[in-house]
Parts: sequence; C-alpha cells; structure tokens
Amino acid sequence: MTVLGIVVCVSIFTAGITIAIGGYGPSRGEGQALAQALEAISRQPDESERIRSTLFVGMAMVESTAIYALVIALIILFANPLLELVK
Amino acid sequence: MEIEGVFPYAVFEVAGIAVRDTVVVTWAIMALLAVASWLSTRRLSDRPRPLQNAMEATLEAAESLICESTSYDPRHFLPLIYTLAVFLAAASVVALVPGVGSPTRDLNTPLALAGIVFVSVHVYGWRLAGPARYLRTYVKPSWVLLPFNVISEVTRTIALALRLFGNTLSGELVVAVLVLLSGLLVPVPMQLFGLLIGFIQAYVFTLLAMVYIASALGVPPMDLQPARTEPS
Repeated sequence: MTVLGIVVCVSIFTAGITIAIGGYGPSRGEGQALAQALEAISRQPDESERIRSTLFVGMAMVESTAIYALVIALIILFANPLLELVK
Repeated sequence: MEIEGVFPYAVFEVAGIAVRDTVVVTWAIMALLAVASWLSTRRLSDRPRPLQNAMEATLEAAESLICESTSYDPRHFLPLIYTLAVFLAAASVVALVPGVGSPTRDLNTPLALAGIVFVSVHVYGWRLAGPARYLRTYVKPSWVLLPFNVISEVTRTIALALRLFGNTLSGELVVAVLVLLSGLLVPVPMQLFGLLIGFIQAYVFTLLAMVYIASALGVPPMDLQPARTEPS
C-alpha cells in the first residue's frame, strides 16, 4: 500500500471515529438535559418559559462540542490537508 | 446533485475576487427583507393587514426575548437583535428553494455575523453600562479569572459562528446524501427537519447574542434595578 493509500485509509477511519464518539457524548448529555427540563416543566408548568430558554442556551452550548467534532470530520473528509503532504 | 454542490461555489468574479453564491443569496435576502419591511410600514394602521401584523408579531417576540435577558430598555438592542433573528430565519427558509443554498453554510457568513455580535457586545457594554462597570465584568468573580474572561470573549465568538455553520452545513449534507442514495421524495422529511433546526439555530444565535451583550452590561440582579420603561 502506498503512503497516500495509508493516509486515506487512516483519514476515513478517523473521520468515522470522530463523528461517532463526538456525537455520542453530546447526544447523551443533551438527552439528559431534555429529560431534566421535562421533569422540571411537569413540576412547575408556570416556569416553562424560563426553563425552555435556559434549556435552549444550554443545549446549544453542549451541542457545540458535537459541532467541533463534525467540523473536524468534514475537514478530514473534504479538505484533508495531509493529502497534500504525501502527494 | 453531487455532494460537492452542497459547498459554496464561486458564481462570478469581480476584479479577480471570486464572488460566492452565498454573497448573492445574502444580498437577495437583504433586498427581500428591505422590500418586505417597506411594504409593511408603508401604510401603518390600527387594524393591521397581514404583513404588518406578521412584522409586529415577530418584533414583539424579539422584544420579549430581550426583556428576558436584560432589564435595559429593549429599544437599545432591538435593531441588532431583530435583524439577526429575521435574517437567520430567512436564511434557513431560503434553503428550501431548489438550487439555492442557505448562506449560513459558508463559514464566512456566520463568522461575519459573530464578528458583528463581538463588536456590538463591547460597544453596548461601554456605552450603556459605562466604562467602569463594563471593565469590572472582566474581573468578576475574581481578578484571577481576568485572562480566562478575555480568552472566553474570543472562543465564544468562534463557537457562536461554528455552531451555526455546522448545523446548517450538516443539515444540507444529510439531504444531499439522501438524494444521492434514494429517490426524489425521501429527503423531504429531512428538509423539514432542517428547517426546524434552522429556526432553532436562529433563535439560539439571537438569544446567545443577547446573553453576551447582557453579560457585558454587568447587570445587577433584577430586584436592584430601577423599574424599566415598558416597551411601547
């Protein structure tokens, strides 16, 4: 296998692993945040407005971790800088 | 539709600078919104017609969003916040038009918007809260945290841009992959889902911009504030 082939193989594998692990953690966290928020709303329906906006902000914060993983995966797949090095 | 078609592409060149389709779509959205707001405010009446009604409803939603996060007069922030919200919502709707991509799938657009938010955070903080209280927000809760506060100013701006970019691009990529794999109507539910994501991201972007501005204002707790003027 050529050096280019090895780099391509490793890149594809890494992109998959990146999005798998990078998606797993944040989705677990977001699910938990949603569950807690639902519980809080069912206990205090009057506060649902405030809980919802806090939930959105918090989820956006958590989600940025997943987005970082996605950006890394996209860079590896579509704009891999390492391919230029071994050509 | 190829996967590459999802990414922004150059439409034409002006003096050697490639103009991407995102710029064209952005200007189209701006023109559309300008015409819509001109039409809706041309003949204001107490019994509003549908367009004026829609504009007023969204404006009031933006106003209540501002009131939730700060106790200052919302009219200070309304131009920026409302424009951000409407533009981002329009950007996610425009992606439904065949052959047109949302301008936020190009990293440059979210970066520019986040840059606007970054600058306006400090301008609002300096102007409304005054230099002393604005600068004091950097050493809260303790002066040890000063470097971290400064770093977070930059990183949260980049995170703001990347979040919007990643969400939009991933939505469009999923649709493109589905088109490639399957038939004509299969990606429609994903497109609807993408529209929902786009609206949520518009909301989150606007809300976070407001939260950042509010944090630079160093607002004391609600009950210590003088009663704010009610939005008219």
